[in-house]
Amino acid sequence: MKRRDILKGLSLLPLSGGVIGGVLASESVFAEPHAPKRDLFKELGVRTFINARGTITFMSGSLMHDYVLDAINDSSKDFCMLEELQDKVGERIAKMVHAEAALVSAGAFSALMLGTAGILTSTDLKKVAQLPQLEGTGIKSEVIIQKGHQIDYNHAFLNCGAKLIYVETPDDVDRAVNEKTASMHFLGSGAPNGKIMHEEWIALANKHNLPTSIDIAANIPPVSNLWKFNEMGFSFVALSGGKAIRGPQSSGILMGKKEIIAAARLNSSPHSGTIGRGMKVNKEEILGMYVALERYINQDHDKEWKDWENRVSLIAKTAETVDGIKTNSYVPPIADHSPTLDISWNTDKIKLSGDEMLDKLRKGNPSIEAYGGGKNSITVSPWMMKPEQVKIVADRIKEELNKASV
Amino acid sequence: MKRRDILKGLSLLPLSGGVMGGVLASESVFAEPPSPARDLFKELGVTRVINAGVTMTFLSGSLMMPETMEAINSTAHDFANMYELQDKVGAKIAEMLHCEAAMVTSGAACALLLGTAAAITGTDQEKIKLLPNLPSPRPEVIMQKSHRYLFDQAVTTTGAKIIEVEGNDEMEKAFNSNTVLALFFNAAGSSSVTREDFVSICKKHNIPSFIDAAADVPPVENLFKYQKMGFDLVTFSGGKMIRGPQSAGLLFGRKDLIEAAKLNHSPHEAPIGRPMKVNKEEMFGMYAALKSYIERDHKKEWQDWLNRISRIKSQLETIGSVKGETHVEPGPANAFPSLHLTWDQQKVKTTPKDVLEQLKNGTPSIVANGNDQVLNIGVVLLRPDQVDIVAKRVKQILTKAV
Repeated sequence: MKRRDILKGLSLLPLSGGVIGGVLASESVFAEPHAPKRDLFKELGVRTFINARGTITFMSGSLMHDYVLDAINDSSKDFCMLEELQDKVGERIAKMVHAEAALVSAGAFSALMLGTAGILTSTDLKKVAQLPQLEGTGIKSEVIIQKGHQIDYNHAFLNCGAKLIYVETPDDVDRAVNEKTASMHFLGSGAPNGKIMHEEWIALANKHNLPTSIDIAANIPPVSNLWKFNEMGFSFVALSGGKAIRGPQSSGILMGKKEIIAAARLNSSPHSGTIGRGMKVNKEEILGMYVALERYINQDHDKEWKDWENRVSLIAKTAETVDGIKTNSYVPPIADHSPTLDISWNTDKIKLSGDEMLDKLRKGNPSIEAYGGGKNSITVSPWMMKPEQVKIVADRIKEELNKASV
Repeated sequence: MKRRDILKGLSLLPLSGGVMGGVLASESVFAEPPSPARDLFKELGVTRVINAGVTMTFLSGSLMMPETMEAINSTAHDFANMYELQDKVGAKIAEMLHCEAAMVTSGAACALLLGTAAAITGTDQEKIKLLPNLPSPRPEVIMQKSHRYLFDQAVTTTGAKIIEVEGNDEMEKAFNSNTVLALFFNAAGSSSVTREDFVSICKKHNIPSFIDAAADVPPVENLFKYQKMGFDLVTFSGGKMIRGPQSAGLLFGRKDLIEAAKLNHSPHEAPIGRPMKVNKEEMFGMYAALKSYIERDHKKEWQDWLNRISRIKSQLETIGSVKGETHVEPGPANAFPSLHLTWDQQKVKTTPKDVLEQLKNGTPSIVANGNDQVLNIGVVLLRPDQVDIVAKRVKQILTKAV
């Protein structure tokens, strides 16, 4: 409520005895304005939807909890020194995740880049100013990675000016290491696709006296992954803030060895001539990330998991009331690790393709974003739904299946 | 003002009538939850700073407008498609700024990088994938020698190389088949090529021109000026005087370039701009802030700043030899009024630098600017309640030195 609204309201107050009670009862003075709030989604014609898919960047990640918004609101009224804020938030976060140091980045990709930049430049400001042009600078330029760990996001290393050197076996690593080798990277979600697992990767790096990094962007839950890889000995860990932790979507965490985080900071905003200047994180996001992480760690994870399972089971049961339906619930092993449901059907009994189903859900009211698709199935991840949306999704799916039943 | 403050205020009103008192006393119906709000600054030991300076990134930029906060809060509870959001926010912003297209970036440095990337790659997915490691020869961006600055690392971060020129002739000769862009730093101390010539030389060579005007409102007219002049791309910071989110900025101009810039940006999976994430709330916040900034009564705002200056000045000129003067930065960066204070350092035995130090280390901590002779008190970033606090603190420090 704004001051001028309050004053407006007050001027209407008949300031005398008995009448006042009546005014209060009507709440007209204290209630929020009755005029509809500005609806920016409507104003811009932007579709909102029920998220039955999960924490996806292009779908705006996750919804911040109210306590994250509180942190954003409360900290928006004062100035402070961003370096001091990063120092102090970093210190707290480091403690929470059992790392030597930490910083809040503009997402996991930013964390990967800043950590790598930190390894490449150390605290040499001349080198900081040279990134990403490594040629002729003497800056080490090769990052070793397993073939099975190749994903698009590894472009973060190329953005720093580094090259990726692919290996498969420990012998390959021994052969690949040379004076230009800067670090050895591990993709958390790619572990099953590689021949070398986490501990062995670290041991190999230690043998060659090289730092290691790991990308665990979407690999929470379990909550223990927040500290597992720091404890295991990775030199730095990159994590998304706007997924399961439900911090601001454009935030993430870089955590690890003190000297790497310190060097990463030098490559980051608010420093001006740096590769990271374009990856701004504001004070509200830094504090929002801090509160989100703290509350996430302390929440009842078993209860949350059980709730997600109940959601899956409600949607499955509702869908199964339609003849010809099969459901399969499972948990993706590493990334997006939460109860998930495949719903498939016999197309002799239900004349509808998976893609058509997704389209109908998307175009329905309310709009629902599920995934999978194809010939005769869809996939639903209910963990990002608001509680009241679970039944809506279940009913909508059932409705479309019924409509298409022969 | 929060509800509980209102109630506090009301209880002081001489409202006769027994019923009223009873209802108010309970407070339980309307009051916020009783637990004290969590003070994160205190909890972390982070010093709150009163900004009696200008908008500096390291000092957290500016404080967001209520409209910005409303936008953030009201859009936090629903999911949206980020591609759609960027398109629609961009379309509205472009409409407001009288240009073909626009987008929200994570600040002006991000906009510089994305604009350069766009000029290099166009919509060519292969090139987007290669950036910043394109096969040689490296793409070239023309800049005036006197325009080189710390922020041009955003240009070289794309893999491009900067070609320095001085004067129209050198600029003319600098174009070759590797040239992708020419960048003009609006707030540069000097220029050997005028803006108008810069634009026309670029047009002649069919190379896009880009102007960095990060900190260059007010005046509000600057938001429209450079695209009208013919620049193909323009950037402004969002978290300075427009008072959007600090980690937001604007890139606008030619439609094909903005489309290409978007392809180089998040939420696309792994282009060079992926780490420069802007979230949904920031996009809406930037839009709401810009709209509010454009629609604001700028004359009234300017007058309010002048009033703040007189208010502080009149309190300080009570000290012998202290003189205040309204100073308006010529711009283009930080072109707004502030108070220049001078005094006879024989009579008030302290220097501006010493005062700055005391202001910063005092409680509350106040950041201002100055040199050996002049103490520069900025007023545009003060909250209304901070104007007198700043005046009192400066007065206290100066009085002690008499």
